[in-house]
Amino acid sequence: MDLGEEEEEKNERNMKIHIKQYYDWWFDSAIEFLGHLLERVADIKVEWNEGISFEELNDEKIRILVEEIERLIKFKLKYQTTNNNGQTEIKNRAYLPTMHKGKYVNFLGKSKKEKTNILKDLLMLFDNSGSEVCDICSRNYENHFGISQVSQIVYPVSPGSLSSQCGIRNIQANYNCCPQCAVLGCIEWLDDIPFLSNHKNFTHYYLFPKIGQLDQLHRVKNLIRANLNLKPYSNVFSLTDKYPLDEYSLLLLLYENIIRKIRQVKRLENILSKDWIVLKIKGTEATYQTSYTYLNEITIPNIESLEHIFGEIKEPYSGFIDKTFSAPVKEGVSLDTRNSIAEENKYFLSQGLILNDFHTFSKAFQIRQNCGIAFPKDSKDIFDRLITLWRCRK
Amino acid sequence: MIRFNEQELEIMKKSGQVIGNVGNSYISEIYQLDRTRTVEDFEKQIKNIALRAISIGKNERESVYAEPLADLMEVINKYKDNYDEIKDIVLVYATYYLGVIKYSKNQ
Repeated sequence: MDLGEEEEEKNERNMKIHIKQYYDWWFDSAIEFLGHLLERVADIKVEWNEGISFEELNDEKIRILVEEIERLIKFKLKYQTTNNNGQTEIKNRAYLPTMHKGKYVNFLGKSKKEKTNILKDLLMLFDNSGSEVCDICSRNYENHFGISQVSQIVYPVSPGSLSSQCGIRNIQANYNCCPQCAVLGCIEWLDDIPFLSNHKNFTHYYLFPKIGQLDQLHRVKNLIRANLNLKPYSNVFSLTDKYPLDEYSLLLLLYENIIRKIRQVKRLENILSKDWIVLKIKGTEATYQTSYTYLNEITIPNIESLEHIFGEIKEPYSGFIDKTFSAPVKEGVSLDTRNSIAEENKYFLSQGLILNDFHTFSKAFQIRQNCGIAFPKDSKDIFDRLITLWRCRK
Repeated sequence: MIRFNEQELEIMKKSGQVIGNVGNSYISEIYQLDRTRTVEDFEKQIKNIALRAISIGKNERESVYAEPLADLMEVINKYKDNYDEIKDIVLVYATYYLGVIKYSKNQ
């Protein structure tokens, strides 16, 4: 046995904890986030295979991890805003299912000491025995910590809609889970997920890359992380510091920001995922949210078309779509109508580009409610180039 | 999705310009063009717009050059089964140029 093999075997012996992949968009993303925290914050070596493997954590590492979770709760689940009197206010992201009656629920609502105990159980001892069976992962567990009741914080879409999702199916309406599933589900709300809050239609969009291999998911999410900039209503911004208002614009702007940093677009499919899951949380009231939170999938059918567009146009969202506005064709069109048409147009333009669907793109040019689309003068060249690139053979 | 040659795309662009110009005086012509559901209806509406363009040219100082619409009929005949793709491109250009006219007036 040579030195390399010895080292590998030694590593395997030390890698006592293995959290298996769920093959579910939410929990896999949460495992990736846990792995990211272990690597970046606790400085633990993580192996990415069909899940994550790592050495059991000592007390100090657990303490560091709990501190980071506490920090992230304040940083990610609250935001600073200015009220009508010009005073600065700290507000909770009330639309997230992380709170009930003003208090955090499940794992996030536990004290530091309780969090430490739960994480010790999970990341030090990793006990896989007990009289209860987890409805999510089917592991045995003992309900020591009072976090087994599954609510929207653990899995964001209601059980009724789960049948359409891959991974977890046929879960009973009242279901319970093991501490591992509860912790993973709760901490995923602290993850670096591209999001936007559209306060006009009370809809909040979260984008998850849909990737089966965890190591690849980790790579893509790290690339995304480097391009996020958390502000009150979004973490993806254009050059003019505006944030998009729909899921397709969010995705387009995210691509644009990533590509701007890479500078040279070679193979977009090697850089980013073409399959995405969009979590839409509607409203702010708990009962309403539980029923109206749902998932959409975005699959980019022809990523090469985006490569051409980003290669030629460079900034299709910031340089073109974001600048469009609505121009009334008759007098008397209200500002509200103009704004809503302008927003709808951006949605169609972004969706058309992402899905390589010219017909959808052309919907933005339909005159509706006496409003057409208009562009500033400096967009003329980019508009011409885009149409030629898209519809003209070389 | 059809990819047109440069000349065909140029014809669609110029046709869009003419239609945008006509739409500035008769917006209902663009609405009607959008509402066409068959290639025959589409061709008929293009002819109507061409007549409008000629009448605008007679009444106003600036004439509207309607020839691209005649060339467009040839392109439509070539791609009869996919006329809706031509319709999308022409309408995109038409609304674009209409926006340019409206916006420059408001400036």
